[in-house]
Amino acid sequence: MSHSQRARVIILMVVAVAAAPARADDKVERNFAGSIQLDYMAVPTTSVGRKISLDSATAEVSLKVTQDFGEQMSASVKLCIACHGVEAGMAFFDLRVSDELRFRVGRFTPQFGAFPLRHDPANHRTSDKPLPYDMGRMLRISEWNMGILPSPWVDNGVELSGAHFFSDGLQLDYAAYAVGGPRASADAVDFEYRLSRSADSYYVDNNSRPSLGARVAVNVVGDKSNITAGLSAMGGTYDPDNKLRYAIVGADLVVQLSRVFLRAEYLLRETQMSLGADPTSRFKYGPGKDGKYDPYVLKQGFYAEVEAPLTDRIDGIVRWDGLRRQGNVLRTSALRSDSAILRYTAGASYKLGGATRIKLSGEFYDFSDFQDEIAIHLALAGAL
Amino acid sequence: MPQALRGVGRIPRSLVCLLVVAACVDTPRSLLSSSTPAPPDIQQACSVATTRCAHCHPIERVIVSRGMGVRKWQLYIEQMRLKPSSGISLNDADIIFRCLRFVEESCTDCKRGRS
Repeated sequence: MSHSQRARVIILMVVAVAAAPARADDKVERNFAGSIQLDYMAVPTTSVGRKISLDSATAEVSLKVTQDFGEQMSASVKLCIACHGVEAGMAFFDLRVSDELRFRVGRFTPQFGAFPLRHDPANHRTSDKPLPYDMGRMLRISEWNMGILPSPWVDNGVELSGAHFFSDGLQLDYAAYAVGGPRASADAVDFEYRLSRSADSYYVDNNSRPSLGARVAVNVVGDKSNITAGLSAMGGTYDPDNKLRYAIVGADLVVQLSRVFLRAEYLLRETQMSLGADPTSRFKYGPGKDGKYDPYVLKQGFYAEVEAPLTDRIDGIVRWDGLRRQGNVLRTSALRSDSAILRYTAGASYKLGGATRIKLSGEFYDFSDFQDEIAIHLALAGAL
Repeated sequence: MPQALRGVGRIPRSLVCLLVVAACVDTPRSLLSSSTPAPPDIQQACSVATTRCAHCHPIERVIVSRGMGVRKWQLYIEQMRLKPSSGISLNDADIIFRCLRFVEESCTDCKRGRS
């Protein structure tokens, strides 16, 4: 199926579900939500920003329809239009046995970390995402191959989850899932994200083995406060031959004091590289003291941010985030065996009306291997 | 250690200071419009609703959805309650519904029955 055919099918699915009559006597209820963001990114420190980033204008659109089939079953379909074209960001059934036992089956974003829940541009105050979750808007994207786990990570699979309130003020969440997982070609040294969204390689698992993951979170709830702490993990193989392993772990903390938020997350990914037939000619660095090449790469990422309302219409946000990569690199790579980025972001969003906002943010990139850069974002974002 | 990672210890302290300052200047926002006086219990309910809803998304997303009807608000609140780490207990869901029912019914210029 070609890209345009797939786009037409997804659009027809959403329109058909939204347009079909809901019968109240069947207790079938349906609702619709959506968002739009148009962002312009400028890189004033480089004459042609496109050489180090996907700069200039990008649009992100999402249209979501959810239909409830009584109290224990619902279905959601979400259409997303962004840099990749038209994609199905969601297409799943939720089956609820109880609050403590729910099943999600279909195409969805598995639970990992705190940010993916707010990945929709209408739900966060900056135009782009924290570096660990970057999906194509960071500078030096090619050299770094994005962050740790691009958000939203959309995949086919099944998820078991639930929540239990020990009291009104203490909630425990859990989730466990099996999804297709990241992909790459044979003899890979890192994920190849295009294979996850390419019709040429089909939207199926590339190695017949699911990636497994889990998340557990504790939520302490007060009248005007909320503290959420979570741990996440995901792992499996990512190459067609099932030889190259990866594992991602993460910790997250969100503190809400009325309308002020402090958020922090840390992600770590260990990725096994294929050494190939001749590692000497393939890699920039030689073997270790034991005479063997280390096939593992460690990639760490974090962010910490504070978001607060400054006036009735203006919200402010400051963020500090970064990435660090440790391990051998291909000879062609501009990175070294220990490379890092630190990024400092200050931004504000102005409420125009309804749920429409203008977002303005400035980012200072401190690279260990390249000259420092500045990026400026100006966006119009809103919810439907 | 890469040059980029030096001097990072100062940053967390700066963030904590900003958090404290930001908390001091926090401007309350509410689901209630100033033109519709609400009884104290509704004000209390809407305070809880504002805190809970804003945990995951801007409160404006709730305000622009007025007019969808009370039944659909029940549906939405249940969907939101089931989101991971929503912090919305069954008791909170009732409180939020009391607020949103008032918001819905007091919205005189809302187009009714939209989906």
